[in-house]
Order: sequence, then C-alpha cells, then structure tokens
Amino acid sequence: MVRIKERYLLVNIVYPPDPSKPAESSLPSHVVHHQPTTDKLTYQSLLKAIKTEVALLFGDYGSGSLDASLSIKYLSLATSTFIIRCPRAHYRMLWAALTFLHHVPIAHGSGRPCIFRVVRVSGTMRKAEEEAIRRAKRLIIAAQEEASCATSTLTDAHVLQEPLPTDITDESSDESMGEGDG
Amino acid sequence: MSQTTIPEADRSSTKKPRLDKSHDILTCTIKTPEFSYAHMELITDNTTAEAPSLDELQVKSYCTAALRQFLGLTGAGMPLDILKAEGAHCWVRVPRPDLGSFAAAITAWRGTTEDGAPCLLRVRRCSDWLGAMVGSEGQDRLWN
Repeated sequence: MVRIKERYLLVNIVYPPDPSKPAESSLPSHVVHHQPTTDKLTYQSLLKAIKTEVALLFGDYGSGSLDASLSIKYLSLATSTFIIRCPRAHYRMLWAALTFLHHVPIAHGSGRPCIFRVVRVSGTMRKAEEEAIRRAKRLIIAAQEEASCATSTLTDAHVLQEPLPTDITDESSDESMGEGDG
Repeated sequence: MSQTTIPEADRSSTKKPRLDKSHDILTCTIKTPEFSYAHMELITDNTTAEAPSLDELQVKSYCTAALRQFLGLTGAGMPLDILKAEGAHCWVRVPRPDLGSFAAAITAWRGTTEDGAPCLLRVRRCSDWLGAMVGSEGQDRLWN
C-alpha cells in the first residue's frame, strides 16, 4: 500500500547568553538557554521565515519540493519548542534551512538572536510529542539540580547533571520509519 | 593493439611462460570519474545580426544566474570550470554528482536579452568523459 511518508522535526529555540554582557548569576544556565519566546512569534511568521530561507538557500528546487507540504504542527512559546512536518525525502534541506536562521522571526522588526536546534527527527507525530514531553521533564529536573547545586555548600557526588541524550534520529521505536532514506 | 588474455590455468602449467606480442602493462577501471563535462550553445532569435559570441565571463555570469535561480545559494556555490568559450559554444566542467542539477538549471533558465534579442543557453551534450564528448562532435551532421 502506498503511503505518503513524512518526517516530523522537533525543534528547540535556544537563546545563548550574550558574551558581552556580564552573566546573571541567579538563574541556572538551563533556564537561561531555554527561555520562553515572545508571543510575536506566530505560526505564520515562523513558516514564512523558514520558506524564505529555503528559497534563498535552495532556490526554485527547494521551494518546489518543500513549500507545498511544510506545516507547523505544534508551537509552544512557553517551552520554545515546535514540531514541523515535511516530506521524508527532503527533511535535510529543511534542517539546513533551520540551521541558518539566527533571529526569532517576528512580523515587524527583527527578533532576538537565537539558535534553532533540531533535537528529534521522527516518522510519526506521536513519537515527536512523547519526546517533547520527555525532554521537558528532564530539563526541569536538570534545572532544579543545577539550582540546588549552586545554593548548597556540600558537594554531593550523586547530584550530577544528567546529560540530555544526543541520539536525534528516532529509528528504533518508530514503526512507520522504514528503511533509511539515504 | 590487440589484447590477448591467457586463462589462469595455462599460466600455472609447466610450459615456459611466453611473452605475447601484446600484453597488458596496466589495467585500470575508473568507475566514478571526478568530473563531468557539458557542451552548451548560445541560441538567439536574432536572425539578422551576426552570430552571438561568448566569452568566459559571460558564460560564468549566465551559469551563475541559472544556478542561483534554480538552486539558490547552494547552486551558486557549485564549482564550475569553464574549459573553453569559442563563438557561440562553450565547454564547462562540473563535479560529477552535480551534472544532473546543472543541466536542469541551464534548461530551466529563462535566458537574457542581448541587444534586444532574447537568447538562451542550450545544452548540446554532456558526458563523464571529455574525449568522447568532443570526439563525437560532427555526429549529428553525419546523420542529418
């Protein structure tokens, strides 16, 4: 049976601290990096910025292959996370275009400098959502541990920050992700 | 030069090895050549004036415009070498994996107007091997 295969990219918006300004000491670094995003970021403005970047980087070919079936399925300003859907064959072009965006795309003016970091590529929406929930939980625990590390005077060997997993492509647990697409 | 091949069984027999009149000194198989070559011609509607002439800078600017429109920045960054530009013909070299994209970009290019006449670049021939491409130059004149 022929089925249209797609990829869902889970993307974080990360705000690196400005090196010229002095570091604010009170907040843990996890919280600073994953701040909530301004509500001027809308589905339309984000999609438009991504399409413009794809047209700039990949020309008519890129626009033709991605424009039609590119859509943002989930956008959360509080956690600075979104899930974007694209055709399976061209997800790397979309990933490259996201790498080249470096300001928050808002309708008027220019947004804050930021990084769009793809943390998961999945074949189904459900697995992408589950991964978003897992990462949010781990982020909260890590931020709490970092805050308690900073305030407590005793160094506890067990309180180590758990590194966030770097395995991005979700190959083992997605039943609808078939063989590698090259 | 004929190349005779002796089966391995004969070589290992007790006969004296004889040197053939012709034997292979080196056998080399190239499965993936590094570059591909394309031969293009500038076509124009302008029948009254003299034939258009191309120079290397014109070829470079036309190809860059075509690649930029079709493939964006990644296309404009394709390493393109212009081997020769003579009259209305030019020969260029591109990396082998990019030949398909390059030919598609040139075909999709809408062309420019030169002295009021619209002109296009037409791909006459492209090949992985320069010798074969240049050597088969007059073939279409032979059969027409």
